[in-house]
Parts: sequence; C-alpha cells; structure tokens
Amino acid sequence: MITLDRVAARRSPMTLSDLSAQWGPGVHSIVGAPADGAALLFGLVCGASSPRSGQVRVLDGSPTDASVRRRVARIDFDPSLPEPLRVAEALSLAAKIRGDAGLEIGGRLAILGVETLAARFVRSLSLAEARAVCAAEALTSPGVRAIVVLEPLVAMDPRAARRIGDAMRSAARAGKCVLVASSSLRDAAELADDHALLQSGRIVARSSSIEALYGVSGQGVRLRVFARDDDGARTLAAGLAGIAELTSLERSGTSVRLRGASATALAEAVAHAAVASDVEVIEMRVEPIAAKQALAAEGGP
Amino acid sequence: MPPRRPRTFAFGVRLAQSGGLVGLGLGVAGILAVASIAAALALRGDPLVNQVPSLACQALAWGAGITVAFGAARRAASRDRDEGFFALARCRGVTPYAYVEARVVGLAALVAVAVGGGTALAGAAAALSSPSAGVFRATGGALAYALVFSATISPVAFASLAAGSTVTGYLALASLLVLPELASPWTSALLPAGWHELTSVPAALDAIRTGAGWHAARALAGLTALAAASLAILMGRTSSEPDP
Repeated sequence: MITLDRVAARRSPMTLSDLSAQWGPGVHSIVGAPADGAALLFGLVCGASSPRSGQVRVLDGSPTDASVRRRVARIDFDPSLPEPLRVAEALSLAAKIRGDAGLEIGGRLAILGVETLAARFVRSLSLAEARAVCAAEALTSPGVRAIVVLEPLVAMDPRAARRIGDAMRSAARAGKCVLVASSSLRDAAELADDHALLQSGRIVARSSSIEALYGVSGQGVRLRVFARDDDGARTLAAGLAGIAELTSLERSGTSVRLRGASATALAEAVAHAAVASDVEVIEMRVEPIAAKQALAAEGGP
Repeated sequence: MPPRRPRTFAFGVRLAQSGGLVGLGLGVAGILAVASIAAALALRGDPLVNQVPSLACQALAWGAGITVAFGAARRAASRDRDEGFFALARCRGVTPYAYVEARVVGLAALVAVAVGGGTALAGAAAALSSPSAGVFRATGGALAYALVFSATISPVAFASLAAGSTVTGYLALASLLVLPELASPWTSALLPAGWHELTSVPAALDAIRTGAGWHAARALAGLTALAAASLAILMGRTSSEPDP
C-alpha cells in the first residue's frame, strides 16, 4: 500500500536519505524524535512534499494524484477543520469531498467516544478535541485506505486516546494501512504491530518487537524519564548515579535524561531506582540519538 | 472501478452560501421574483406582459445576482485559507485547480438558482397570464441571459474580489462591468458596424437575451473569453498557495 524506494527528501530542519520501506494493511509504527523526519515522511506519503530522488508509491499511485490523496488521511498537530462550522457540518463537508455518502455523524464520532462534540463549533475545540474529531473522520471514512497519524496519544482527547488503539486495529482488519509516528516506544508498542526505528532520516531497524529496537543503532539510546515534580526528578537522578549501564545522566526540571547502550537496561535501572527511592515515574520515552550527536559524544568529527 | 477524484460541487455550493451579503442577495431575489409574478398577473391581457421576463431577469441579475456574487467572492481566498476550508479540501485530495473549479461552479450554481429561478417563475407567471409565442420567446431569452450571466459573473467576481481588499476588488469589478458600458458610445465606434455587443458585459448579455444570430454568437465568445481569462488569473493565484 505504501512503498518508499530509495527516497531522499529535505524540508528544513528534517532530511530523509536513502529511505526504503514497504507497509501493507496493518498498524505500523515509526519510532523517532520529530527531528528524525517522521513529519517529512508523512508529508511525502500524503503528497504534500515531493522527494528529491527515489520513488514514493501510495495505493498503487503517486501520492500527489488527487484520486490517491482522497483516500489518504493525515492526523497531525494542525487539524484541517474549518473554524466557522460546527463539527457535524465539518464532517459532513469532508464526507462530501471524499465521496462518503450516508454516514451518520454521531456514529462516526462515537468510535472514539467524542460524539458530544458534534454540535460544537470547530473554533471552540481544544487541539486535543480537534485531533480526536480528525481521527474519527479518518478512521470511519470508507473511502480512506491509508491513515498516517503523528503522535496518536499526544494532545489527544482522553476519551479518544483510550479508544484510538482499538479503532486503528479495527481499521487495519478492514484492510487499511495505518502508519503511526511516535517518539515514545511505549506508545508505539501499545498501538502498532511492527515498528521501524527512524534515526536522522534513515530507518535503522525494523522489527515486530519493540524490545528488539533497543540499542540496535550502535549509537546507544537516550531515555527521558519524567517524574511528578522537581524533587522527584532530583531524587531519581541521585538514585541513578553510579549505575554501570549509564554513560551520561542529566536532570532538567522534572525530567531526567539517561544515556546508555541498551534501552532495556536503562529502563530496568530507572525502575529499580524509582522503587528504591519511592519516586513516581510519570513517563519514560526513548529519544534516539542523532548520528552527529553520537559522533560528537564519541569524539568524532 | 477506477478511483474517483474528490467531489467538490457540494463543497463549492456550501462555501458560496456563507456571508450576510449572500443572504441579502437571495432575499432580494425572492422579493424581485414575487414582484415579477405580481406584475405578470396584473398585466393579464396587456401586450406589456411580454416585457416581464426580460425586465425580471435583468433586475434579478444586476440586483440580486451581483449582490450574491459580491458577497460570496469578497476576500474569499484569504477567508478560505484563514478559516481552514482550503486545508480541508487540500488534505482530502482536492487539487488547487479543482478547488478553483469548485468555488466558481458553486457560486455560478447559486447565482443561477437566484437569477434563473426568479426568471423562470416570472416567465411562468407571464405565460399563465397571457400565453403567447412572444411570452415564450421572451422567457427563453431571459433564461439564457440568466444562465450566461451566472456563468460569467462567477469567475469574474472571484478574479476581482477574492484576493486583496474589498475596496480594490469592488473597483476592479466595477471597472470590468460598469466602465465599459459607460464608455460604449465611444468604444462601439472603434468596432465594426453592428458589433455593439462586444463593448461591455451588459451589452453582450442583451445580445444573448434577444438571440440575434451572429450577435449572440459573438457575445457568447466575448463572455467566454472574459470568463476564461478570469479563471486563468484564479488558477495562477491558487496554484501558488502553499500546501497545508
């Protein structure tokens, strides 16, 4: 359904180089920090950006072709809904453009538990609510065959966040290709069946197990751990100091950044330190290290 | 079945309906239609009833139709971009050209309903009041006037008013529709004898209404050229819009 063949593209500050991948029906994740190029990759898939070289094929056609673009839905942080309309009107208009006839708006929103938003004006929605509406539109449109979602569990209405995983799997069972980009390994593991690790514009590893992606780059991995408050982060950092698996440790506000060879080992160390020092960890996320940073850290050019 | 392109007609009509001036124009169209029907019924048996469809279509076009077109096209490009309509369409596969087409066709359809609908009602009332070949001929000409007016005014209004300020847009529209008509006594002298229909849009529409052979054909060609030039301007502007 989505094929990238030796694709190179650039949109400052992101660059993709020599990217080859293929995704069929199912839920697939791309794990990487925003600067690694997931948004640019999605722009290529949606036909909003063009590759400098290589070929992008979506649904057996060019992603810039109008008939292909109609069947691709994109959910990012800038929801494409007209502000003067009510949610129901906006969805109705979107359905007319996509050629989806006879869909009941309440039922479409109910798939993510946000049917109460139908009568609200789009301009009154929060970002999280607007993203939930866009997700419901994408996931329930019969014409849509490929869906790309940027950080599905970030800035997402809590009602929708609880249901979006099931909704995406349901879409995948219906033969759709759902591509998820996340900088959180936890989110990727929760939502997708297989994963690709994107680092500095290259897919450096693919696996159906998120565990297998830890440390595969050879550049190590950086883990960011969020505590509930500054004191918690300070205590956690103190508890982690001296752990053999760590190559670096820094604290900033409520978060602690760790670096080491294996994400699993780092996560275990965090768990031990959190239990030992009675600190509540809110979230842990992997932040892949860019090649230049890794080289610099290793004393390279 | 080959994959379909996005459907944009309903989108265009929906956007054309937004704005207070559009509502006012449609209201004026309703009032003028009722007045035309009343006039047709009041002139039962009077030869003047033949004039009712023609007068109705001109009043509807230059009273209601122009108001609807002005209201729908005024700053349409920036409004669509700022309010998210452009992004809604582009993110669902509507190309910049299809977007322009949707906006123009949507407005033309709305103006055709306002002007052509009222004209049809006036013609029907006149035919019921005094059925004659003259009334039917006048109604046919008036309907042709209404339809060609709708197809012409829509791209011209968008090309004049969609970008830039309301004042400059209004002046541009007036310079296309009013100034040539005011200057026609002089400009007609520059044209071959009997080619008066090419002096202005109202003159061309009158030639189509009266349906006089080559005059109507030349008028239609002139209006088509004007609409095509307006569309080319719109396409050029819209294709430079960044992809959302």
